[in-house]
Amino acid sequence: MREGGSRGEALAGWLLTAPAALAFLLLLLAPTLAAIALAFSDYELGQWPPAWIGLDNFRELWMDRGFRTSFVNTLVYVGIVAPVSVLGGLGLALLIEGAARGRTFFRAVFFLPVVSLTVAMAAAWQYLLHPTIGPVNAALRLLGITGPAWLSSSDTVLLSLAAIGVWEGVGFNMVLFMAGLTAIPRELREAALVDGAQRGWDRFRLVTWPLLGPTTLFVVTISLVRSVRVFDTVAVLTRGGPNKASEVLLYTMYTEGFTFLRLGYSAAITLVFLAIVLALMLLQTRVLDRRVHYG
Amino acid sequence: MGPVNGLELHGIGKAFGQTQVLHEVDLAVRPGEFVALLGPSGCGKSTLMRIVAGIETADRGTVRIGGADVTRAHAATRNVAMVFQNYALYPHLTAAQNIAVPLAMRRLSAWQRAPLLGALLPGTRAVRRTMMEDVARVAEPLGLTPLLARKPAQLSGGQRQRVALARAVVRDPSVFLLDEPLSNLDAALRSTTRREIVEIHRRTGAATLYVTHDQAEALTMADRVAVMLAGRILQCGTPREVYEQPADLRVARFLGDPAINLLEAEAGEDGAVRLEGRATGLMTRQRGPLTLGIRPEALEAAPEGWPATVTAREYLGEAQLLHARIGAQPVILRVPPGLAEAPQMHLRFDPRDALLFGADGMRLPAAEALHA
Amino acid sequence: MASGLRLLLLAALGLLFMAPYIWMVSASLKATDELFRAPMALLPEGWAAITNYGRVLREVPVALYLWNGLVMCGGILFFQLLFAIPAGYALAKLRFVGREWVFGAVMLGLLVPAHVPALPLYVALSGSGWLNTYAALIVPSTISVFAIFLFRQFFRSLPQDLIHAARLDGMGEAAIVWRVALPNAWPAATAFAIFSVVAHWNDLFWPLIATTGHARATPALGVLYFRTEEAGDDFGALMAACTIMTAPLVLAFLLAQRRFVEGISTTGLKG
Repeated sequence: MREGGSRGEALAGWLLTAPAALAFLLLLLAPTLAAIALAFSDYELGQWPPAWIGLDNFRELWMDRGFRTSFVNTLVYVGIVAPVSVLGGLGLALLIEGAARGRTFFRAVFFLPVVSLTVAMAAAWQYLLHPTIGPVNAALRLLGITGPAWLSSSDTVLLSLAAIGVWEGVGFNMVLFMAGLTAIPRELREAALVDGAQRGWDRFRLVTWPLLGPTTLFVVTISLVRSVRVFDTVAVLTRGGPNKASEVLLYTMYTEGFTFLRLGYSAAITLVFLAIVLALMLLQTRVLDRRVHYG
Repeated sequence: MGPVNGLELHGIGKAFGQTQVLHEVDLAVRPGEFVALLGPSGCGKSTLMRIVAGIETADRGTVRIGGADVTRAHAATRNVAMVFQNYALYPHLTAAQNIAVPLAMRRLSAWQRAPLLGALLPGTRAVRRTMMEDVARVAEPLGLTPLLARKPAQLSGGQRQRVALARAVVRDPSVFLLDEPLSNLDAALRSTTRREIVEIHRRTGAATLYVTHDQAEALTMADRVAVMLAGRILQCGTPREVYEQPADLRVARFLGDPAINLLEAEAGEDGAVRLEGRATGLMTRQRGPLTLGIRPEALEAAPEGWPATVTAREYLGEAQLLHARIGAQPVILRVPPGLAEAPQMHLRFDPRDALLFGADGMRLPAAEALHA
Repeated sequence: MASGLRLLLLAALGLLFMAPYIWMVSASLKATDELFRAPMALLPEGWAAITNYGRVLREVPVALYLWNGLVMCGGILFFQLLFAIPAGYALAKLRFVGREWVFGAVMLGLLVPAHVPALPLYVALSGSGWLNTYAALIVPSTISVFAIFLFRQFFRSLPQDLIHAARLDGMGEAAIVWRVALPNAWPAATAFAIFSVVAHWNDLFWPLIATTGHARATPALGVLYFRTEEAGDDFGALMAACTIMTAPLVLAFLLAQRRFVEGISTTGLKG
């Protein structure tokens, strides 16, 4: 476009991107490649040089009962948290959107867990769910029910963690859905009214749900990726216990890598984790994206 | 006129918070009649239309359709069709599916409309088939037949407009509402669509209420024009009535482009109306200062009359506008394009084309504005 | 749905969501024996606030944790903006060879969670003896591809004429970045700042790896340590510690609610 300035412009472009590019190479690209390389080695901290062992780490993962439990637990956790927090977020957004008053107030209430210190709130939940002195079981006792030991029984621990995960994430989804709802043209809802969509459900099916499509897809992907990354609550509350009933991918990776210092093995778990995240992103962009955009 | 079926509005009032947007509005549209609701933006005309559609509820007054009181009835039960300013087509549905929505909502039960399951229920297929026949029937005269499989994003503005029209008429509404339907079209499409809308109106025979801020649309299309300003209908009459016999100064000022000339005049003790000291030939029972209204096309250059100074000319092709002064009062007149240029000229007008307004702004009725 | 019913439902759900906060604060005011005796009571019989909060303040370097959190979040944000704003500007407004490659790298980087490079970074930091320093907390997060992406999108909508005018006024590209582009990018910058601070203040994963002991512990680590080392079954004191550590961000949120919600929903991509 500007003939004279193009050389200077290119120079400026390189200079301005150079710090970011350098940081990117050193702090993101190189370590990520190193992590991929580590996954094919038997590296343990302090043992140099590591040996290349090909797919041995992955073979071991496949046989490792602890890892399998961790993998299945993560799937179960994601399987609960993602759908519940997506539907819950949508429900809350619709409820608040139609409320006559108190929209800002309720939005703040449900969003508060998103900005709260997860570790501290996990501790608060631990107190709430304490088998003997926790208010939850105390309330159940009033109803004549003996509550379970929520976080220390292998039957309920994953469910309890999932409940905390939903509590933490639903407000985030709600805010995204509220933004999506305000983007729906008012005229379309009015057209649905005039066209004879008498009940709220008819209007939801005819206008709200189809027009929320892109938002929903985004929220679903985000919720899946966020819940695959569950770590804080496990690290604070259960440390994977009891008896590995709450082992999840990132926590297993953490203990293998930073407690047992088996970095190669830990890197292999990281790759499994990365593969899951990438698969979810691919699902969004390649498969579902086409079905929710009209235009 | 007796009890008209069709649309009847009586004493409609509506406030948003502290702002009263509609004051005691009365309006009737007979079946088969085309009424334009004309007013500047923000005058409350769209609110009135939305009250008729059932999108808003009135604070006061009644809405009757086909003789039945529907003031509190749900929009879905009113059999009112509406064309929205931005068409409001469902972006995820094809043109055919858009047009079929009002039929599906009425003819299919909630279960039959359900995804997957609905198709399995008895009767769904047959109903859907007749629905598609109806869609084809309304699409054909609008030239939409080859476009029925497209989604709104693949249609031009004019095509979307016609899909919106088809969706509105497909169910034979008893009231047909149009909210500024031409405002998003370019000038060429506007005049063809204007004719199409009038044609559709004639075919359906519904009571049609057409909201617009464009007086040319209102005057050319409507049987009657209701002029609305600041939440009140000031006058409702045939296009000629509202243009030639405006009820008051505000209506006179709002209609006409360029706007009517309003001149300060004086009625003497004898009732003769004088402009700049010269008799106009008009007589009135009022005394004292008055406003004299003369349309630009009613003023003409003449060998004698009011001396005027020309200050500017605008050439329009088929005519020209002269900006001039009579004394200190500015006037605009529309004259043939060939009129010779001269800085000084004399102006006259036929007293029968002049309008007189009292100090309160109301037009002095014909009986009082006697012609000498 | 009747609006009364709707409000009632919202109020009930809201109370459910507030329950952890309510019980946390309530427990932080109660004496230990009371916690065991009457778990359901909301208001304490004997006010033990001074005992509980006193114990936390006496035994835990609260101020140090908060300071560490502040230094970490501030440092991370400073470098993230320092790297991302010029890069975002260059990607949006300048034409240079390799621009597509850089942008491709950004898009690729968006797909990789921060947990993936953590292992090698840990090895490198431990090799250079940097563990347990502010640098260890800050450096790995200084590059945010998401920030680059966000600023690029934002700068693209900046009128080209504005930049031409600045060039005609004799400004160099670096001056344009900081004196023309940045002042116009405040909405994006605030949104990203809120997102970044919330994310790193609450993060446990990396601080847990990069530090040991109290000297460089962040608020998240502080709560974790207090819970495992000190509190035991003294829930009153633990809840007091949680209340103190949760308060800063929650108060900031309540003061600037709209900005927080906008910031986190517009930058939700990486959240």
